[in-house]
Amino acid sequence: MQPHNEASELSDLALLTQIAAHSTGAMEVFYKRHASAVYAFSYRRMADAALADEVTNDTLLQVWHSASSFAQQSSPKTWLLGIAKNKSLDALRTRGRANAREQDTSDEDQQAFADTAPGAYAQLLAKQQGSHLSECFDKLPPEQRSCMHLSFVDGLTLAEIARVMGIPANTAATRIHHAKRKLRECMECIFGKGEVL
Amino acid sequence: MNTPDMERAQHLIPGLLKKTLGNDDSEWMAHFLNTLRAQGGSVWTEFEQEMAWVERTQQHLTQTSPVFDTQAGWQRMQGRMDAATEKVIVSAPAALSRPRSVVQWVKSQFRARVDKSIRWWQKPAVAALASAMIVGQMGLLAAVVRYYYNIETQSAIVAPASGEKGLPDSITLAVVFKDNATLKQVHQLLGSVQAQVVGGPGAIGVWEIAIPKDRLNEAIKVFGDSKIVESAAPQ
Repeated sequence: MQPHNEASELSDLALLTQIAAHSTGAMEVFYKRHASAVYAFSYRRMADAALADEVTNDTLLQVWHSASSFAQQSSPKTWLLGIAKNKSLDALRTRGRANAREQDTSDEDQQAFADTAPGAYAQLLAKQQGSHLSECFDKLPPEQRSCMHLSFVDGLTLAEIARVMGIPANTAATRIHHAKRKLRECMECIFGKGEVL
Repeated sequence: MNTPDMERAQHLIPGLLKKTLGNDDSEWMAHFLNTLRAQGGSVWTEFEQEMAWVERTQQHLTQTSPVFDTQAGWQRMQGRMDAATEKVIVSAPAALSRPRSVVQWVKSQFRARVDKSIRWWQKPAVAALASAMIVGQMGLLAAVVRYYYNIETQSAIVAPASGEKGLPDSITLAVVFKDNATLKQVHQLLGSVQAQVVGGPGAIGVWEIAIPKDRLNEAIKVFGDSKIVESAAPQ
């Protein structure tokens, strides 16, 4: 079933107003507009498809229940991703994975990314450059990965990223800076300087 | 070259490429790029390279983002929304049809707390203790009643039952005590001659006092000399 045409032309804010009045049509439009972004963000954060799927619906169900509490202090998408971030954290904690996956969140993290095992270079060259980018991206600490995803994929500003993550804007900037540096280093380690992408 | 403007511009590149920047940021970025392009040189070249890197990385991350089945997700979502709505509809009338009074609420709270806090043996123990206390109270009450009853009987010097009148080997005297006689004086007087009250007092205040036969004369003399006896004579 396609969402109602009238609702599909509404802004996110207008949709949230209708969702607060429990309009299923408005909810459907909002869901289909943002579910993919929520899923991608959750997946990048948790690297677990099933968990990301669950978090996506948990997040949007939260919107269904508490749309009336949206205070308009940020954009609807920023508010939505903020809920997704908290739901992801809850899901990780519930499954006891939080410590394992979130332990290295320091911005000053100097974790080495290069795989120095013999034969690694030859194996990596055989793969597509893009897949290596994904590998390097997945090796980033979760908090840096989340900030970079929000910036590069969702196109959020520093202020919006800071709001979603519940951190100061300077911290968000620092995390993105380190994430970009590590990503470059990782790719250069694989392909050599100047050959990256 | 890392000036504050350059850092700001670098952070705005993803939003510029995604076309998600607000009006203010878009205008500022357009002005910055025009200025930088006009300056040319290595700074502009480096910035162009940065933009190109961000664009390729951005495209790749977007393309490799995991695919979400929106339609299937929405169907599951509808199920959860319906379930949540039904839950509200079902629970609301139940809550309205059985309004709980404050007393009921307090009782339930008290019962819940008591049930949680006490152990299995404490209930019968408390019951036994309460029973013992009730029995004790009854006994105490009976003792108090008996005490006051005795005082009344002693002060009136109630005569023994009629069957006990006329003790063997005794003679009964009819005695009238003076109004100001005390119980203590009466007991002392009777005890001095081993006399016992066997009846009375009658309508005119006559007591029947049994005196051992061998002490009759002595008793009559003692009663006659006593200050508390009005008259004493054999019946």
